[in-house]
Amino acid sequence: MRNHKNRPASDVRSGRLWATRALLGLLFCCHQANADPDPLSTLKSLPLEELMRVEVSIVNKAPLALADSPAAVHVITSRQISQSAAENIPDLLRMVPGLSVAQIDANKWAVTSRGFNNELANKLLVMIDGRSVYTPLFSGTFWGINDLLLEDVERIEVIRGPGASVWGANAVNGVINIITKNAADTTGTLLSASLGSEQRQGGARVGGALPDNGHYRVYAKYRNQDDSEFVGGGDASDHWDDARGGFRLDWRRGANTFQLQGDAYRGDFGDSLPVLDMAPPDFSRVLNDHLDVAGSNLLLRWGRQQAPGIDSEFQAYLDYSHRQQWIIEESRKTLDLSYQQRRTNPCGNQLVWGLNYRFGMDHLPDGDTARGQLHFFTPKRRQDQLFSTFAQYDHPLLAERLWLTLGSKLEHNDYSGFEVQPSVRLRWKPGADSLLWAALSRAVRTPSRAEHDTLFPLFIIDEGPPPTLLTLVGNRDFKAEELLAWEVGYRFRPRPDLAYDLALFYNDYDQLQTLEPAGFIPLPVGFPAIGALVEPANQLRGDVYGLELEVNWSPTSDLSLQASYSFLEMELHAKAGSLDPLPEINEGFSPEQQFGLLASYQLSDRLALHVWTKYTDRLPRLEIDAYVQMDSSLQWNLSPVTSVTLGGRNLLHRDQQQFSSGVVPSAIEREFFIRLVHRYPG
Amino acid sequence: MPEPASGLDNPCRKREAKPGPSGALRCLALPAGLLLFLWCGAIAVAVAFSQHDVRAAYLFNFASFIQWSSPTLPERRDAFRYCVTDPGSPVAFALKALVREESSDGKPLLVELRSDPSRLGSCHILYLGEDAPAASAAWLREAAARGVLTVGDNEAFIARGGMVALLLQDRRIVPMIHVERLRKAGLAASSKLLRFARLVNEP
Repeated sequence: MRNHKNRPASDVRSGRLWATRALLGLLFCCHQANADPDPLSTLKSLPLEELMRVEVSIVNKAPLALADSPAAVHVITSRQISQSAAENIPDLLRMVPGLSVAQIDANKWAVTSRGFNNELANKLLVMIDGRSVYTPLFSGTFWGINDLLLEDVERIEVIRGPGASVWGANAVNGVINIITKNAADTTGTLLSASLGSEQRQGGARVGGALPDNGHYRVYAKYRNQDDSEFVGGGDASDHWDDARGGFRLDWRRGANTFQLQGDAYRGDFGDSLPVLDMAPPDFSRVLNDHLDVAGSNLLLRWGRQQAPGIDSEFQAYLDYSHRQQWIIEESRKTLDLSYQQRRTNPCGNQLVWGLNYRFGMDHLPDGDTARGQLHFFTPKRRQDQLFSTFAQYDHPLLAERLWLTLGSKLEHNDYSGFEVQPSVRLRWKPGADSLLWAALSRAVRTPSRAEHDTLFPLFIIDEGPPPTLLTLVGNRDFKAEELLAWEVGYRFRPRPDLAYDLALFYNDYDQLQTLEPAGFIPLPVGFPAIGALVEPANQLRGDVYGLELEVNWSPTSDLSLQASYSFLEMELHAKAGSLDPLPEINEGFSPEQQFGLLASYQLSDRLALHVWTKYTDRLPRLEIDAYVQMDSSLQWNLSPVTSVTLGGRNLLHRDQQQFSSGVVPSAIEREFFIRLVHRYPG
Repeated sequence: MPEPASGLDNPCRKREAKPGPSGALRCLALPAGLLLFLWCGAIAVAVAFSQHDVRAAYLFNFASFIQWSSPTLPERRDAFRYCVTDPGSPVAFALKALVREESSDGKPLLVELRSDPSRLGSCHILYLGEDAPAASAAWLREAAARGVLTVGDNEAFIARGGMVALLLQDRRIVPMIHVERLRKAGLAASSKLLRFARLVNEP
């Protein structure tokens, strides 16, 4: 935000600018109309016949623009959220065609796009209102701690494939943007409660108007979840509860919008895990651990339409998080500042550019070795900085037919240095009802704090004596994982009620992580123990290809169907010299094929039925067979202000194992629930 | 990184007020223009409104270009109401800003949320945008029966029984009007609006 108001424009300078203008005008010649700072007041004053002549920008931040964008995009709308049986974000994401979402236990999920699924799937960037919730400690997203009052979510945008040229590192296989409603749209009082056989939730929100075109909302939410069941029986001790609250303020003044929001949460999550014990012969026991998590954040955003066709946005946020559990204790503070400007002209050229600075500081105290609690980070406290800039230019090659988008992110981080992540995209509209797009992009997944700085015993590989622990040791030479992605897509809407969306991709990965033997050291555990060290190294490359197809059909105005199919093939190859015994392990963590069907049927003006079902192919590495799951909900609007939803999740099986990250895997149980939502108008 | 222009205050930008070259050379810019564009970012940026803002401006204008000839219902006497099903849509948002402190025939203009078609009685205009409810047939039926003007975004909206669609065509927003449906609902579009709009007459 620089102010040029008082800058003297010398004649020489003006003359040079005018010459530049004349020269560039030949190339870039769109005339300038009245530059009113507030486009709405300009539009308001136009006579009807003029209104029909004004040109509109095609690309903007609305969901409509995503439908025209040269990428594999899916949007979950607020209406779908309110009608679905899902009551947390990962459950909502299960509806997204092509996404791989598996619930590990009562409080852990594995979510990714295009392969490499895991509890901390490290190639998917996740943001809530522009704030990254991707953890730099282990790389990935802790889905259990990220929640919102779902009634306040405006939409969830999911981009499958790289988005690094705009969003930056770690947007390798996909980007998820969770966007909450403007406070002006959440006035009045809302009470929601959900009572289920496995889970209970309650939420309240109050919103209203403030002076000077402002609005506010304040919310609070509590969740409580029962244990899942171990495969083979027994409660998994992974019950949890959490509480959160927050606020959002929005102002609109002329061409400026201001947004200030914040949240705070605290949660207690159960976990059972094998830990080191000093007693022979096993040197190991199962511990029922409690994870204490807490966090808060504050975000400020200032948007300004500087003139028709130019808008800019400044955003700043602070984020604090703390987690304490047996295997790790982490405190983290993040400050993030960003500026972005978008310029559009009637020729259809668009330039978006931005700058970003992020400062993070963490504290990772050593575990209590006397109790066998082994985790060490060197250094224990670390401060990191990230600088980045991006530019994206969208240019029509043929009017209304063919566009070229060029963009790149350039960033510097303290782990792998400079990273360049460019992208070239073409989109072609052969007709009004179809769009063909192609893209070539580079993206990187930058090293995590753990990959560089940790000493972290994983599990016992030999009981000894002395016992030998496989121990992860950080490697400062570990570099970013790299992707070169080739994508093509086709969207076709032959009739207003029928639409196809197909995406094909080939991902060429290099420098993927392997774990290489790095010698033996004695471990400081109070008794003779040896650490068999493994360190991350960039010794793997991979070819991953696949397709994602989505068909939307509304045979009648009361029925809408969404069918989807996705195919994924992963081929990972260790490089010569790699000693990783399981380099291709990630091949077996993501389903090769998935079919999904989502049906919404409006039975009457007040009654709506939603059924979601999905076939998930087997996960050979986890020895999980193919399975079908189904969620269903019946929403009944008792009155304009009150609705009751009866529903069930995972209806087809009493319990179903979907993934595993522990020694004893959990199964997710069938669940029924009733949800009440009541609104008092503001 | 060059300095970004900051709107009106930028000296580079002020030059833009004069008309630039046009005609055959228009829009010949090559991607290489990116570099030049970055170099003096304020050059040659012109008007392109958001399509949502333009749709909202049409809705604002409809208060004066449509006549509600049906006997005025008591619940409509106090205000001119725009009803929306998704108050978070960008159109609804822009419309709220447009109608602020405005009036029509001495009545304030209001934008209100409706979540049930049975509550349309007090509405003059119902806007069903991109995220219109799945049961829009019920909404359209109810609105027509109560003399409420229904406005949507695309031709499919007309095909489903809507009255006016604000179409995006060649980067312009053009109204498409189903004249017969307006007539049946006791509504009449002004001759000026009819002259510029695309008209549909089939049943």
